[in-house]
Amino acid sequence: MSTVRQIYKLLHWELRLEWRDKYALGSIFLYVITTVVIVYLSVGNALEGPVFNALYWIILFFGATVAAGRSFLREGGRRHYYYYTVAGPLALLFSKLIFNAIVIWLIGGLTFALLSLFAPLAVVVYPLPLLLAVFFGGIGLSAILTFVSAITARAGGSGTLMAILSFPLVIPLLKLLLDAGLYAIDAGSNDVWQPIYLTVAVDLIALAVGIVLFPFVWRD
Amino acid sequence: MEKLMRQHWWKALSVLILLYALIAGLLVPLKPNLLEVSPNAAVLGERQSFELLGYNTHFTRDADNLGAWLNYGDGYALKATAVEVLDDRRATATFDFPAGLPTDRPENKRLSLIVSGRTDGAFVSPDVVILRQESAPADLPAVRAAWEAGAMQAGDLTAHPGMTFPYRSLLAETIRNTYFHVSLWFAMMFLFIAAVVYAIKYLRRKARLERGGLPELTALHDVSALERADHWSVAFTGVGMLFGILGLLTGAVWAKYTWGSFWNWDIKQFTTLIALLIYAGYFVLRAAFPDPERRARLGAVYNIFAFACLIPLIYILPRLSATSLHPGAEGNPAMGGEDLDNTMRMIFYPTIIGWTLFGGWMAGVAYRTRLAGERLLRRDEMRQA
Repeated sequence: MSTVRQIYKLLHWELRLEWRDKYALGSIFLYVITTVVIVYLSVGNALEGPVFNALYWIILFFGATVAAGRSFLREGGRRHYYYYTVAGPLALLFSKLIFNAIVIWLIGGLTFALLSLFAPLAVVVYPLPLLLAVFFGGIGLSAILTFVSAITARAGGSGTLMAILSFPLVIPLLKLLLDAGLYAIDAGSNDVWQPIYLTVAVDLIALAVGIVLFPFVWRD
Repeated sequence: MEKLMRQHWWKALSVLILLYALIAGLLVPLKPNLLEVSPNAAVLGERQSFELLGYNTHFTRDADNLGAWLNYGDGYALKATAVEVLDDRRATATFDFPAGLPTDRPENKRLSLIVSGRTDGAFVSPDVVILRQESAPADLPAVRAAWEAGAMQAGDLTAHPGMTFPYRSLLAETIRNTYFHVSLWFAMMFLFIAAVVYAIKYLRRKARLERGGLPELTALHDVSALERADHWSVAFTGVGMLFGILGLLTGAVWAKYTWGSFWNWDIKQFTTLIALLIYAGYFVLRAAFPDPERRARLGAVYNIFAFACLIPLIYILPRLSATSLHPGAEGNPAMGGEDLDNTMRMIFYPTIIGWTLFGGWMAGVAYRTRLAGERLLRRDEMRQA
């Protein structure tokens, strides 16, 4: 089987599993709703501009960490050895990566919808930078978090280790996304495309390094 | 690297360079300049005396040949009619201002004060006196002639004899931190690069073994080349982190004197803190694996990944920020032409080499300690078996 075909199969598998137990979907749905309600309770009508931007990315980031942290643990026990016999490392990495990216995009969409629902005014003036930031940022976040979760899964999948390792690694990307978000709320002061194409650059670095290094991580 | 560890010339060299940097970097004086000029404004068409407060100046020695000019630019300047010296650091310069500025427009102009004497050489205190012109002067050619007559002639300005560091108004003596703070970052980067190189070496050797290559022969109680690469990587990362922490601390001390507080959340402080957190994660990750093979392999993987994430952190994000107060914020950090002149280069560049060599030596000692501990452990285990 070619790698693309393997990725497709594994992704299909992943999505079907998800559809059966709806664990990721359900937990994310609850997480986003709870957080947005808490945000609304604490911030209230001040939910505008920079506050919106900050809270949006914080919610997205923590949701992404929780979702991606589980990606190499969901098979449970030693069942992943079976996957390793049927698929190559790249196919495995990319199936998880694409799945996580989809989940992150879902979180981004859902959070945006709910936050806008509660915000007193239309905060986002230019949706395009935000849309692009969520799209490329989702890929970047998913690339970094999937890779780190692959490493931590080898150490027993402790959530603390995942947090310690991934937070500093993700911060440059998050800074770029926050910058891009500023343009969406019309508070940016420089070139709109700069944070976007730098996000793409970070995505490419993370993907390239992940592709090269994953074969050393995936099995013992 | 192991062969290099047994040689001593480069260790001695690193110590010599660092001693040189410490002595020259701390003892060479700053170029004379003015701390204060008061008053900071004058009225056109009147006579005005300015009190000068110098720094590192020797006015009494230059009492007979001290000259002062207010420089308008474009070849226009005004020579002081009299310069009275009070003591080494205090002098009074008197100017007779013409009726207008050499321009036909209303203008608010900040003029630079140039002082020149034989002992101190010429120095410029930028934008110290403000002149205000409401409307074009009635007799423009006469005014222009007056300003042209006062311009500096060849031979008026003398160069400072001897070696000095540039005086930058806000930085003052803290400019010396360039040698100890900036060079530490360079050395840290070189050490991290060395750590990544060894991490890559580890993974390549590992991959060769897994493809069916033969493991090289090592005694049971000895450490194989594969494991050695891992030990090097850890040693370099550790020393690199130490240098990073020192760089952050020297930067914080500098920030206290120039920005007013140790920590300002300046973009450069922020990104370097994150960089150090990333590398701290390396040691946490290694501690999480009891199995040495897994620890080495995943440690090497994380080291490479961390280095790749370090590049946007150190080379991209700081350049994006428009609000950084750090010198060289507009371009290459701290390497800008205005903050580094040739006398500083004579100390700054060797210091980078010195710290790098010294860091390599420290890493070597750490490596040999690790290796010795490992060998002792294995010997003990063999004896018990």
